[in-house]
Amino acid sequence: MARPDPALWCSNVHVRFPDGSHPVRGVSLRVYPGQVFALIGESGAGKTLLCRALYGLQRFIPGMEVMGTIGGAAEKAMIFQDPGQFLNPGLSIEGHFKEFLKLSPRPSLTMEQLLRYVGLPENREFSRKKPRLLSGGQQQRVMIALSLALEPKVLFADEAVTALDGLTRKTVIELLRQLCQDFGLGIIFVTHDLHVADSLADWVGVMYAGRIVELQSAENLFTQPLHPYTKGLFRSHPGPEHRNSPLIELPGRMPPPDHEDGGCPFFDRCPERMAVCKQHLPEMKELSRGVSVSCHRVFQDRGY
Amino acid sequence: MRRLVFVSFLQLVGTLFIVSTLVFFILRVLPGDPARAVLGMQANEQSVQRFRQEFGLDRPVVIQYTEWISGLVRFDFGRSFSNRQPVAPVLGQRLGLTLFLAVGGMICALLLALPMGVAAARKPWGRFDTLAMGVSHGLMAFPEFWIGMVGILLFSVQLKLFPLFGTGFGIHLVLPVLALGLNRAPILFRTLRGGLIQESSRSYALFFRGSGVPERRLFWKYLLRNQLPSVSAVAAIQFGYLLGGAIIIEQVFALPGLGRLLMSAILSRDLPVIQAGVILAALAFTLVGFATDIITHASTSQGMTRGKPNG
Ligand code: SF4
Repeated sequence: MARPDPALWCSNVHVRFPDGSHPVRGVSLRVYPGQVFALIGESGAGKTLLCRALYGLQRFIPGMEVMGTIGGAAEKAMIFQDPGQFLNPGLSIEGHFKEFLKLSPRPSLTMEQLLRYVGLPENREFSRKKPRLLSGGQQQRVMIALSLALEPKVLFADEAVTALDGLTRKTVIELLRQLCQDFGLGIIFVTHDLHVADSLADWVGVMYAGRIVELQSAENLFTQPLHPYTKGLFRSHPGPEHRNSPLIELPGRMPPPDHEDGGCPFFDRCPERMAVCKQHLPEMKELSRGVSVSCHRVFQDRGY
Repeated sequence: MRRLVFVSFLQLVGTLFIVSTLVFFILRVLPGDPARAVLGMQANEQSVQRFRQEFGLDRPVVIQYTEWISGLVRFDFGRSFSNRQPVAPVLGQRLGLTLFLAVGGMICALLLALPMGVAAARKPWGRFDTLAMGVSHGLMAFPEFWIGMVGILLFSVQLKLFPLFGTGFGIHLVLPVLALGLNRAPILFRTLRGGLIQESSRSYALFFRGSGVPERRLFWKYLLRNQLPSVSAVAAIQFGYLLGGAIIIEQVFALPGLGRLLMSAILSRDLPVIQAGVILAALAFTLVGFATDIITHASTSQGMTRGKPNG
């Protein structure tokens, strides 16, 4: 069966700022309809800015410059980590829906249907509330419902469940999965939590210092990680019993967003480094269908 | 809210009582005899005595004070020394013009400040914003009577666009209203501009923009609406200044408002008119403060009163 066209793709995307910082460096990826593509990595890896660039938010962020090619569906929507901040404090939930339903050329769903879909009450008492009267989980559901009002083909979820407590997080993750199936949405899901990525994603891109260093199906990645950084992430990540604890940092630090390109940016922290790594930046190579990685050690071991 | 209204009402009554007591006694201890000031230095002792009797000035100060306060409770401000007419109706008449000037000045200031604030905040430090900031800086440096005088020279004397004088509520009031408005617009403009720039950088603005809400709509419908409480609070304070400004501008344009009435009352030591004028001014300022409190309270408690967060 032929693969459908990607809902979103990009090739060699860079993000720069006038102060010389270069937080996204040559990222290429594809997101297919009905699938979740998770971007994982430590904070500062460039995940959020990549997302904003792919969405096209640079018009509204002073100084942000995006280069490269971005294609796919024009209908995009975005949800964020702290929904309380991203909803208008002076506007009721109903007011938000009125505005967002207007933005869709032919709205096929009503506010009540959207609220019901995301599991929120449809009554007036609820829809007349101001966002700050809602719990974090409700706010995130409102945000998801608002995004659906835009009838997107791609949904960007930037750390969308990070701020939620365990049970709410689980239900929101289930809701996002459901969205994928029901609406055929392609979801780009940014997270630093490996367990969240594991439970939700079909594909995972591991970001380090502005680049995707490994890209695999979630199934493969979590069973056979290839890149030393990915392996390090898994080793240092607390087990499921600590799923609410933050990621334990790998020893050493990620180079800052304005670092000079030279050898492998992971060199200083890498337990498997070789002489060549210090001089030459490893390029991203597709080892087999759907498995790409950028690491000299992997290339050597597999004869590339 | 009910508590706030009650407390504010008590404050209002208290302030008015203190002001009326102070003004009464200060006017009584000032040197000079009001009877002689009204009748003239040449008036004979008999007529001076008659005048004192007529207005109760011959009685002990404490009795005069109690009569004055009990009159106030019935909104009776006494009779004017100079024309022997009751003060209240004259004051009411004059107040109309002063209020018209102040309200007109406020409308004019808002009509200038709102669109300019929105336009400037849309591109901070852009060409329009830089120009508007420069102009507002300049306008703030000039008092309203100066703007009024330049207005008279330019538009009435040179260009002959507006009449120099007039009666009632006519075109001759355009220049004084403009002078007041131009003087107050910069503060409102700056408050709005600063508030909108801050509001515009909030996360929800990014969410709305990113979702496709047009910039103009975002500014007029959402950012401005969220900034209205703080702008209204500033506008309420500015209204107090506008009342003061109106009293001054009446002198420049020779308008028969409260300011002119008070000036002539002070010169002729017409005590009942001065007392009533001061109380009216105190009332206006306290009411403005009251309005500011309510607006601020309403905006800070927005959305907090109905229900509580639930999980
Ligand atoms: S390229 Fe070298 S330094 Fe970089 S991750 Fe691979 S082995 Fe480590």
